[in-house]
Amino acid sequence: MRVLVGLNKKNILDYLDYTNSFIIGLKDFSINYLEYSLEEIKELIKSYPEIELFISLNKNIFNDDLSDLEKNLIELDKLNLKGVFFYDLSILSLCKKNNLKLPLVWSGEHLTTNYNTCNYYYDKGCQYAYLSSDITLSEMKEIKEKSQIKLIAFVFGYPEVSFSKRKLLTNYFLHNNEVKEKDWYSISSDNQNSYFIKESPLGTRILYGNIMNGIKPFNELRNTLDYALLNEELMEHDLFIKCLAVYKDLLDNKIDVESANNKIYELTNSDDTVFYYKKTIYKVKDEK
Amino acid sequence: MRNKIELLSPAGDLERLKIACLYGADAVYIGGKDYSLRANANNFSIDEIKEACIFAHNLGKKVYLTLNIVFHNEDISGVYDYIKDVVDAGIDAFIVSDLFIVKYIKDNFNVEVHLSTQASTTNVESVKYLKEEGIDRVVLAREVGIKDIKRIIDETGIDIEVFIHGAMCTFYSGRCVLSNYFTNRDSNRGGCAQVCRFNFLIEDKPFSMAVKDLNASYIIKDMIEAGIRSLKIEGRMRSPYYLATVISSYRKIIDAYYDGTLNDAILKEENKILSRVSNRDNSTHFFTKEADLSDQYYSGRWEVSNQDYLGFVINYNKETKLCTFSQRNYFSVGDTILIFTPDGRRIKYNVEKLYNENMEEVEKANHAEEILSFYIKEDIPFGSMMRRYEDNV
Repeated sequence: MRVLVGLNKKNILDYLDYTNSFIIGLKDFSINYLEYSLEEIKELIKSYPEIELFISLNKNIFNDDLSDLEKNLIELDKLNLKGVFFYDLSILSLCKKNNLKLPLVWSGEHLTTNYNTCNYYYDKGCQYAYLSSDITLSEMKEIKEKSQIKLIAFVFGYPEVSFSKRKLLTNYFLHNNEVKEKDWYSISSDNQNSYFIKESPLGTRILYGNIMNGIKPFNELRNTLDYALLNEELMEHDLFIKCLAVYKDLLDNKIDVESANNKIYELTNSDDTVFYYKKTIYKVKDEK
Repeated sequence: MRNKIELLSPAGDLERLKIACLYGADAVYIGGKDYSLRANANNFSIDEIKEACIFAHNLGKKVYLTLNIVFHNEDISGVYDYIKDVVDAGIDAFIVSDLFIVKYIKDNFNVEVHLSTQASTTNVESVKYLKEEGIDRVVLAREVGIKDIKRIIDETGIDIEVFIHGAMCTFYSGRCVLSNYFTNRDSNRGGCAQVCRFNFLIEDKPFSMAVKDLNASYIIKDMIEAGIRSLKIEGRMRSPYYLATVISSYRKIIDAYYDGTLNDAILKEENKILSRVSNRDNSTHFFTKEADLSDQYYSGRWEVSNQDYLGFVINYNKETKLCTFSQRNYFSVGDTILIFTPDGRRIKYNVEKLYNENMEEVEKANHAEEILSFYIKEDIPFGSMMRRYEDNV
């Protein structure tokens, strides 16, 4: 297992002591990673040939996006990328049409939840599946046992909850004749946990307001995952780097899991493992 | 020339399925006891699915079964036997979101597969891919506009289905797990708690992300001319009265288009009727523009309860002209009501006398599901419904 980092700063030197695997977004095509233009991606690879680079193209694709998408995929195919995260099936279709050899990462966000779907995408040529962050650790292990695809899962940061095409913040502030002063805010309901709401030209996302402290699942999934994803989004850079160092130390067996967990708790005040050890239900009668 | 466009109704149980078929739906979509995204609707047992298919097929209508949860490992083992049972029950198509299920059905059965809106399909290339996978019909994401829908149809030739009426999601279908986080109920397996309709605070001020309902009645003509194959009503949890009202209004609009009689007056009248069963404002959302601030709510409660539905006709004696009904909401002698029939008639009626089950005169219909009667000369078939008469509808 390797540590895969979702960057929040373009100064990659800060991270290189801890990992050389990164995920970034292609400008205008990614909803939740730091965006780079195609030229910037080329420059990054040229400057740091030792890094493993995953590119996210996980927005919902519309007809008007297809032409640019196809051109970008053809260009990305010329680079030595480690993987391309995708959500929309048009990317599978365009790769096939253009005979591209891009290593694809099925990134269904909340849809990557069982071994048969993973096997389906493996049979379609995908090399990796980015597992849903709302399945349990035991479900991930079963997927590993019953499918051949390589697995990536989210273990640290603010988990992705929802994505809308609507401009929910812009609309709200326009309606109230107020100025939207930033792209993200904190929202809450009925004394429950707070959440982040973040808007970009592609739409509006909701992120869980607690940092996932995935140290324990990270340790338990060493033989299950190929990459464990830590995303810096919305976090203080120094805090993220300190946490990244703890994960790296645990991976290198320089620290035991309890000490690592305590360190992350001290840094983030979170011991929230979200759904790793908590199964969701879907029939109300199941709750009784 | 393509076939007449299909009007597709939801049905949460057998009673609703029969109402939908009688009131003019060409096809009905239902959920089984498992694997459906409305886990808390009554839903259908295998025996009920068989009965539903026999009933619908006898009327020349189709039945589609939703199998559109996002599967977890634990859901897989039982699904294969279930699919066989449902095929044997006579279903016309499955509505599926998980592609391994699509492949399994296509590899093993000769039955149509429709891709659920849960897959959020939004473009030509994705639809081309799905067509190659054997998908017979795609239910497009509700974020796709008419212009894009037409391009998808023109470039792929596949059957396209779109939602035209009912509640909308704030977020892309399949890309929202608010319910999981707030209530631990899995939105992608039918447990959605509609958290997007909760009241929120943003920096201590009221904030809402709830959206208005969808109503595409004014653009049905554009949809037919774009080549859409099926127009879908949302709401497997909706009441029989709601379904009867909405289905009959869209039936009138669609039929008027094909008869060449569709005009603004018809659209206006049908919208008055549709507004009688809605409890929220509505909009066309993404069909004609990017959704904007007019498509949302911003604070407070906005849903209104509806006591419009007065009774359900259970018998009409053609000799005595006695119409017997089961009461749903209060009305009394002297009131004017509107009776609407499955065959599309709307009859204004002044209630002069009401009788109880012993044929004793009563002044009021004030007990839920009380059996009452009145005399009326028009033939009022079983399944007709009664509502308050207001504003000429």
